[in-house]
Amino acid sequence: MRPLATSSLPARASAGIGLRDPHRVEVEERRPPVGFLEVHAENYLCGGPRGRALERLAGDYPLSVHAVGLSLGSAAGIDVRHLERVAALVDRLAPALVSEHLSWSGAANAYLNDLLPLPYTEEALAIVARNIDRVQSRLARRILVENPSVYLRFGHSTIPEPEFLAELVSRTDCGILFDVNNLYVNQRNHGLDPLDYMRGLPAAAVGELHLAGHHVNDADGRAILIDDHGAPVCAAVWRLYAQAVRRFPEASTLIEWDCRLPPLAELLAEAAEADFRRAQALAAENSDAQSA
Amino acid sequence: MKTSALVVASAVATALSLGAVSSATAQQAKNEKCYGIVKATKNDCQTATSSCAGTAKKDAQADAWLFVPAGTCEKIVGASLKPKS
Amino acid sequence: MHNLLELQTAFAGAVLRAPEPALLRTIVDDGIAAEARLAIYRNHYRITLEEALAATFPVTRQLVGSAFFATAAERFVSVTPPTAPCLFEYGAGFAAFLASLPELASYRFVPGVARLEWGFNLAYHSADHRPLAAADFAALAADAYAGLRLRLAPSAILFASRHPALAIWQAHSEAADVGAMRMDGGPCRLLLLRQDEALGWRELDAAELAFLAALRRGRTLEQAHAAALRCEMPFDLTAAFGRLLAEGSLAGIDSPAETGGSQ
Repeated sequence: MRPLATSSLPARASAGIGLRDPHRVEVEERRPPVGFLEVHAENYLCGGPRGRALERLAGDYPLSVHAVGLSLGSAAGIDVRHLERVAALVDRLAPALVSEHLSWSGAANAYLNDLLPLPYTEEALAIVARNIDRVQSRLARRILVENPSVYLRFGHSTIPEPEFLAELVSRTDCGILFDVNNLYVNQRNHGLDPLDYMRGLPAAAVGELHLAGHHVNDADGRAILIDDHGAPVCAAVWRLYAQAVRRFPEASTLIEWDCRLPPLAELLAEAAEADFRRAQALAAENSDAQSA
Repeated sequence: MKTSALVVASAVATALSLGAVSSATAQQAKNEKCYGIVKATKNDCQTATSSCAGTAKKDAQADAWLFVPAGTCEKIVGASLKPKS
Repeated sequence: MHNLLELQTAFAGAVLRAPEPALLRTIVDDGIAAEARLAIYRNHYRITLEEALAATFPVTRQLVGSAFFATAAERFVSVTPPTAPCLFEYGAGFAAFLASLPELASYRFVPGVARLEWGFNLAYHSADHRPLAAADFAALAADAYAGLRLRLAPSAILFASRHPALAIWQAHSEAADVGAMRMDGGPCRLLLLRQDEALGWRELDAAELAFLAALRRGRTLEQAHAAALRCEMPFDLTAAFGRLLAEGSLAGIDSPAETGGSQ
């Protein structure tokens, strides 16, 4: 296997923000000092003002293209037409990072517009690895694969999720986008041990961290956390983030909002808080190391 | 060359000679500069699960008897008349 | 069911319709029933597609009211799953779906306004192009003009309705007094076009619409001119051609030998 072009930001870059259309004009005018901008690929596979604005911003910021529609987990394989459109966007923008999710979205000519859960089996591992290979060889670069928030688990899963991701890394040379909030949501909904989970991920492969908020909803009369990216990062996720920063010091951090989008200033404040907490966590680790 | 082709050739030649700032274009296209700017882009909702998704959602079909247009369409003068086709 | 392709087919069925018992048995039931867990995915799928339609058809939604729109959107979503990931492309059949609803039989202008909103959506998202300029014709002899097939810009969308769809749309988008709207505005023929950063439109008469529709179908300039003349009303080709150049709605010239005209 030939080595893939790396997919990373400069180490110690400041936190980035997810660029959403209602903030686009303000970001273009103010050029806030964030480390990078991340966009969902599927919103930019078209002509028009949105794509041109992104090309202008690409001159001033590193970009991250976060795809939601490649459906890496589809047993039916990658939709070549969609891959070609994503490849054209990646060629045009030359982003610092490209990422997708450990999930699937499409079956039998219907596109289900969600990040659907996979059983973690040897069969699924082979399929996802083959699909990642397909994407990486077309893009001629490494992609990061994100741990999903899931609302159900399959009884026939045999491989713990971090091990599944680690195996994808060793089979395909992909990287990992570690979403701290997704882990927290899964921890609360399914009772995982988050520190154990983080220890299971290959640290060198983690290139990006996601931070977002969630809401508590009700399913079947029981509380369930819904990963809606529509609230500030909660205290428990900030605490996990401090652990994640120490375990994955090279990874860049992204503040991700999608629902109930607040004013841009609130995203910038969260990005600044992420930088502060990251520096604090790394300093604490250094002093631990010195006193040990 | 057929007459119809000559007519086309001379009309196009005239338009080209007038240049792109032709006086024939007195009527400028109207435009909507704000179209699309404040809209949420539609795939943003995929990576995040809808916060309403947990609640059991009743099918709208159950409320079929409420399925009557009740917006501004009734206010438009003459709107509720069957149009001539 | 433990085969991934079978599992995904069954899961898609549960999102689009209802879960089969065999699928439910694959799901770990730890305090929340498998049906309720699947309902989160089914609800998300429906809610986000209904929101996507509401974002593409905001004036249609105001016309019929949010409750009616939600029900219509839900019915449409249940019979029309997206076929590709980009949701700005979702909703192509929504206007035709509205036209099929008996509840809208007395409001025939509503599907027309929905079609106009879909046209704006297409024009806004279509591929970029380099507009043709007069200089692009410099190398051609005048006797070749009649045989040229001119390609309209991807964002040039032709729209026609026998209702005053644009006036209705403008009354809503400009927060004007909708109550003062009249339906006797007559038919509406438009060229929609994205120019730089803005979405534009221009009213057309029947002859110019026929001319542009013929160009869109890949006809030669001479054939398109003949189509305009068949409308039996004055048609000024010099003016019409000059407008296309000035507003940037031409994207290319196909040589007369080429039979297509497709983009």
